[in-house]
Amino acid sequence: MAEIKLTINGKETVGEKGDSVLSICEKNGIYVPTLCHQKRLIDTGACRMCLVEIEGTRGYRPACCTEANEGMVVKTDTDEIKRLRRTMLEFLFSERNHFCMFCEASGDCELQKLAYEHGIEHAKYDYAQPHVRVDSSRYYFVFDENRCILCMRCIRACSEIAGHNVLDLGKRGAEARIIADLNVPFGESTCTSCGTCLQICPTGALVDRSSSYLGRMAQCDVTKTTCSACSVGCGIEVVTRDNHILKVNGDWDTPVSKGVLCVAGRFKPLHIQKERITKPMIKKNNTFEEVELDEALNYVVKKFKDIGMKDVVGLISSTATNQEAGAFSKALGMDRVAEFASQTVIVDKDRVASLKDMESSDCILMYKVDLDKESPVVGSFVKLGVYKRDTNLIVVDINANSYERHANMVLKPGELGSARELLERASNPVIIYSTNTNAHEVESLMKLSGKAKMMGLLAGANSKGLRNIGIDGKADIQNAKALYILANDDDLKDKLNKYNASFVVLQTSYLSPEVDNADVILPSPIWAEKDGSITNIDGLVQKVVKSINAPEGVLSNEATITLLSSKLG
Amino acid sequence: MAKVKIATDWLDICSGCEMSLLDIDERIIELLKHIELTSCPITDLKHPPREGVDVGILTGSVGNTDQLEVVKDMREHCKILVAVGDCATFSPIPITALRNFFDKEQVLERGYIETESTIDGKIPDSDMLCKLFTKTRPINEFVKVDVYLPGCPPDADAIYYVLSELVAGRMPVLTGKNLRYD
Repeated sequence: MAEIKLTINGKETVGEKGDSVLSICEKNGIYVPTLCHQKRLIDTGACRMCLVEIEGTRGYRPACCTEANEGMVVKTDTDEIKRLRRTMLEFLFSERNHFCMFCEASGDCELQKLAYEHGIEHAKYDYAQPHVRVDSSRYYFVFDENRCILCMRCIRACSEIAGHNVLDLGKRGAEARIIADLNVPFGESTCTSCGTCLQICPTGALVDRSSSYLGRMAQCDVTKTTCSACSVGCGIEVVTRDNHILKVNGDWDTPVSKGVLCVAGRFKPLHIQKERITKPMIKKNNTFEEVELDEALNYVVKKFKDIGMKDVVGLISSTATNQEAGAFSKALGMDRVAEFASQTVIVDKDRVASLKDMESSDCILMYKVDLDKESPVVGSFVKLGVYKRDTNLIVVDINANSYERHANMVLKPGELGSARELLERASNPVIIYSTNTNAHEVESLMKLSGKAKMMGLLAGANSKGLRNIGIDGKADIQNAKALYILANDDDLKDKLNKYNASFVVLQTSYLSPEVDNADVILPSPIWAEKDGSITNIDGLVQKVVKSINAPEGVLSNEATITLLSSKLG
Repeated sequence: MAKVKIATDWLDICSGCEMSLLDIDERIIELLKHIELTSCPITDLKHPPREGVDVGILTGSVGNTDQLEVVKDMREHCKILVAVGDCATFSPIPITALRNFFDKEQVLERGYIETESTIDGKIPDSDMLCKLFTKTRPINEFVKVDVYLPGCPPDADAIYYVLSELVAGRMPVLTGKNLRYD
């Protein structure tokens, strides 16, 4: 990159050819106010807050959209520029109904911050006071048009970062509004509630239900960790206050997903209504009785020894950290531990697709997976491919699939042969399948195109890590006489009724009807309460960092397992 | 040093700003050594004295003809006019200006006829009474305002800052945590 020199506010600055004036200002520590600019988005110059004066050019230029040139003389803070910026802010305030005293974003709002900076202490222009809608048709977050400044960060995030292309601008001029699809309520639109727009909104136009009015960012702690909702392993920032999780944000700087999250990572973990298990319990006369940990473990050890350790099988949650899996397999013996989920068929190493392959693929075949349900972030990669790189998408499914509308070709499994030509023509084809795909199906998919790489979606966040440790699903679960299930905070629905074991130890976080299948219940911390590491689908080992403390009496899973192990001798 | 004469009045307001003034606590005693409060809504003298005051303080927005008279009277009889609170500086805001989202007729009907406790209500109509404006407006739309102190209500420290600067003979400039809208 060629180096260029600019004079900004009389100071010599250095940047690279191709940089915008704004990015050179940022690199050199020169403050230029911005509102519609966000580092992950393509700049549009919508808000005019970053106006600067450039010698020799007519009028004023938005720094974000102006390419810097050698020898430019730029001024960023003249009185006239400040007056223009102030007037832009006054227009923004007069256009919609910005009531800071009621607003959820007050204190964290970028519009408010700029108004303070520019010393706005009274209204200069008459208010338009439009009657606009508040759309609460989506469960997890609300859209309040009153606070919207039409910076279009949400629209750009929806298409450029998340790839969903749900949001757009409806009507024009003073009537312009953010709309979903063809102006339907958000809850009825194709929105997947990934929440990228919520995270990127500079004002209180998008309001999160779980964190609203519970504190400003300055009062909160932020913990960078890894999402445990699926095997992609997105980087997340958990926002906490007084040992409560307020919200989960995507980490813009994470290498894996660069800030994109999905509904399962951002919202679902915060809306669990189940009661926590904080004390060990033993089933006596068909009811659970709370006991001390020592008593519970002694009981388990006695039962295990009576049955014989060779007939005890351990089932481990796919969300278990590498450290939990290590302790668990050490306690029970590696060959007696299996993953507590159905297994994905794994193909030869040289045919395995990585998330990087997804980002460069020019033809994707989805085999009996609906990514909006199974792995929406992988879905984001697919949609970004389809809309940014003209990737051909082939959807193969028995039932209706929400990706049909993005596809070039929609096939039934029996018609798979028709996909061969598109796959063969591509230079980097990828085939996506899931835990539901059996070995026979995977084999025929692989034969479809010799060069297609295979992306087998894994059951859980650390399925890959469990395999790497050596937990490979060979343990005999059906003939086990006793089961030790490390279920973590997994949803247990329909997962516990298929075993024949006479004695079941269940280590889990929440009470649910399914725990009745157990004989002993041991408490487990939830995803946010543990330290360790998990391994994503590409084999990338990422840190899991504790953001809140577990309730009193709930030990880490490693500690509980180690205690039990020492008692087993 | 002669005491600074201050007159104050309220317009369309919830009186939250006045409550916030009381939150300056014991500092009010020190302030009163330098201030002569000539008139306020709860003293016998309601209007600023005809010979005028140094500082006039108004809270609330202007919603009817009577309030407009109060504003004009205060402007004429004070050297420095201070607008306090979001209603006075940024109105319409919802507390006093929720009605701006409706027609004047709708508002009067809601207030005098449709209220749950009203039986056989009637919208008052007399030349003796003031007239409601279509919309309620900030003070600076009618008269020149010298000092703005926004906030809903303004923080007690911000009110104290403005008053002590005025007492010291300086024009207050709001920055940092003194400038707040919430």
